[in-house]
Amino acid sequence: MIRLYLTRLKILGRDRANVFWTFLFPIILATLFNLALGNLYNTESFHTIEVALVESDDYQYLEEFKSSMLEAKTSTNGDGINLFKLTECDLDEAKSLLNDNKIIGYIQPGDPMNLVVKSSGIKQTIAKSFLESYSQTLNTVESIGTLQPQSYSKVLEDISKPMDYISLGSMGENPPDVILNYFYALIAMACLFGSYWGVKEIITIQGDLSLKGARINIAPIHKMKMLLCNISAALTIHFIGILLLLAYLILGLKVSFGNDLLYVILTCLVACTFGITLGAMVGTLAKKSAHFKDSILTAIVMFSSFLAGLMIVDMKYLVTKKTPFLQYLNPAHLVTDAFYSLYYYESNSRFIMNIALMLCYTFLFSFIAYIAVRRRKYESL
Amino acid sequence: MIVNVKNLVKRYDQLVAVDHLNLEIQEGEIFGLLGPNGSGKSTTINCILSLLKYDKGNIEIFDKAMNPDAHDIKRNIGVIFQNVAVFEELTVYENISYFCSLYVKDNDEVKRLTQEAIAFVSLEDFVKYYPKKLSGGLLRRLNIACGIAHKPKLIILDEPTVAVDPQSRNKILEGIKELNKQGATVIYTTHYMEEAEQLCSRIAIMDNGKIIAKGTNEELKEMISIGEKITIEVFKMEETQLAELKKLPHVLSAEYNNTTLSIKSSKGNNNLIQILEYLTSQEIPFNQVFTEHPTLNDVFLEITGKELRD
Repeated sequence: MIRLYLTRLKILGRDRANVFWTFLFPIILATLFNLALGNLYNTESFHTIEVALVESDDYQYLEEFKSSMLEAKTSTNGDGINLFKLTECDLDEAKSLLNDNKIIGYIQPGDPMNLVVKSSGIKQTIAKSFLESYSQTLNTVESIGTLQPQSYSKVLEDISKPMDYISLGSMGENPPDVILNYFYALIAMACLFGSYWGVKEIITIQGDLSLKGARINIAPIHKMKMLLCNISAALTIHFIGILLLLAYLILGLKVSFGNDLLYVILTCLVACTFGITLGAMVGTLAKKSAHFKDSILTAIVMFSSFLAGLMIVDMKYLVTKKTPFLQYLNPAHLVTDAFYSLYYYESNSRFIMNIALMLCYTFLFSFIAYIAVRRRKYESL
Repeated sequence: MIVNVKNLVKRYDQLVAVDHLNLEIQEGEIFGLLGPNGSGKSTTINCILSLLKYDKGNIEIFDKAMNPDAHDIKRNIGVIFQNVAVFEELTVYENISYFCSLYVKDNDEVKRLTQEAIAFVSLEDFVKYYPKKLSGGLLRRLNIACGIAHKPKLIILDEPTVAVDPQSRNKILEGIKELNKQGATVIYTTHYMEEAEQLCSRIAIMDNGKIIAKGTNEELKEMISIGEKITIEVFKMEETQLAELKKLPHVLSAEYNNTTLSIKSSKGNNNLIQILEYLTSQEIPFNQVFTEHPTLNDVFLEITGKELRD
């Protein structure tokens, strides 16, 4: 058994086409993803908002307002950057700057404060929120000063504390990161490429699918023992490939998978088995050429990965929203969602559900493959 | 008895591929299954090997019923298919060793048998080669080595010389004789009558899934009426002369085409002399004269009415 397993490992390890698709292709794709998507981190980072303040002698708190704007920072930590860059000018110049897109808007001080913008966007929203917040605070301070003068100093102390204007939202301990899904979908695709190994093992062992299969069938060796040996070798080599990819993503590209690395590895192992049994099942279904079966599997894996967000990340959410049942049928979704839940959620229930579903499908595919392979004689060769 | 097949029937829907076939192969024989493509030779072999389901019949090998789980029987069978069935990813040595290890558990024994098989097919200089680097002839030899490395008592070769160059073919045929000398019983399927004549101690001729004749080379030829085939280069001959020639004793048929006179005569003495005497008496000039004994093709032709090569 061990000798057969080792020889099978040797055979699979020297299969250049499969090694490329399992080992190199995902790494190349990950590198390309990193090059293409790496800049998204930069474009998502915050840049100071340029606004103009129209000069006005009528507004009594103009100096206080100016200093509030200039002191506002993105974060109360030491690393926060200035929220606004202020240009003081008259109304005509402000309009001109806005038309030239040199500012996102201009502020006409007064009560209420008036923000004039040309278009909507996150920066315009931040500026508007700031003005609303300032106006509300000022009104509150004025009211307290009139009604409760004894609390005035305490209120001034509170409102003078710096505050965060930008914060990240998350359901777990990790911040949301849309780019991660691309890498998760990539690993899912790589794991499902194991189906090529599965179909190869079936063709190798079936007497009606290959001459080598016929040769093995006439040898005095139990077919199921042989298949188990071969599938184990395929799983070993495929899993090694996925671990290398994982190492490259974590150590090379600094992709985060959360803190439960063992669970991540477990997900990969289950997904590899899932992929191999999917291939084994397709291998037994039709008496067609290996090329035909590989083409079917390529279509399944790529479409599945597409729906899981490999090409367009919004696709994953679209599928979840429009056809929720499909996510439970989509192999790549189960894998990406398992990674996702490990990264985002503190509870493991969703992760366990994904793993359980993958195991159920693995058993189902194995059973179908077993029923087909257990035939001891063939109708035709 | 090494192989005993009784009333074997194999159908593919309406097509009867093997039709009530009976076969007995004795120990030490080189038994030939001769027939044109599609005559049912490979189907018969695959049924014997329990690869194919069959509709009717009994198959015994080494006096035991053959079935897919008969590992003790399988352990003593070696099969060489028409097409090469080796792993492209393994070297010559690794391929032979792998297939041998399917039959033999002891590692040292596998190594010894692998070396012997390599020597037997003269692939010593190519042990580290991958199959892709081997020529067609060498590849066939590797295919044979993979089938016989475990020293089987029964070797089944299914058209192993198809598309093989003459030199490699001779090497393969010599190898089969040598294996037989070493004690192996051989079943050899072919559609090359020359190979069957050269190699086999007994031959069964198959057509349309049936065995139409069975026996030694000589026995088969005895079954037909033709005793001799005579070919004479004749430059000119009249129709009347040809008709008179056909009436000579022992002449079964005579044809004249493009200076070639072809005569088939029945068994008897002095057939050639009487024909040449007739040509001389008629002052018909002739040049080269060839005579040959009937071949298995003539046997097949007389029984089925068609050429073996069709």
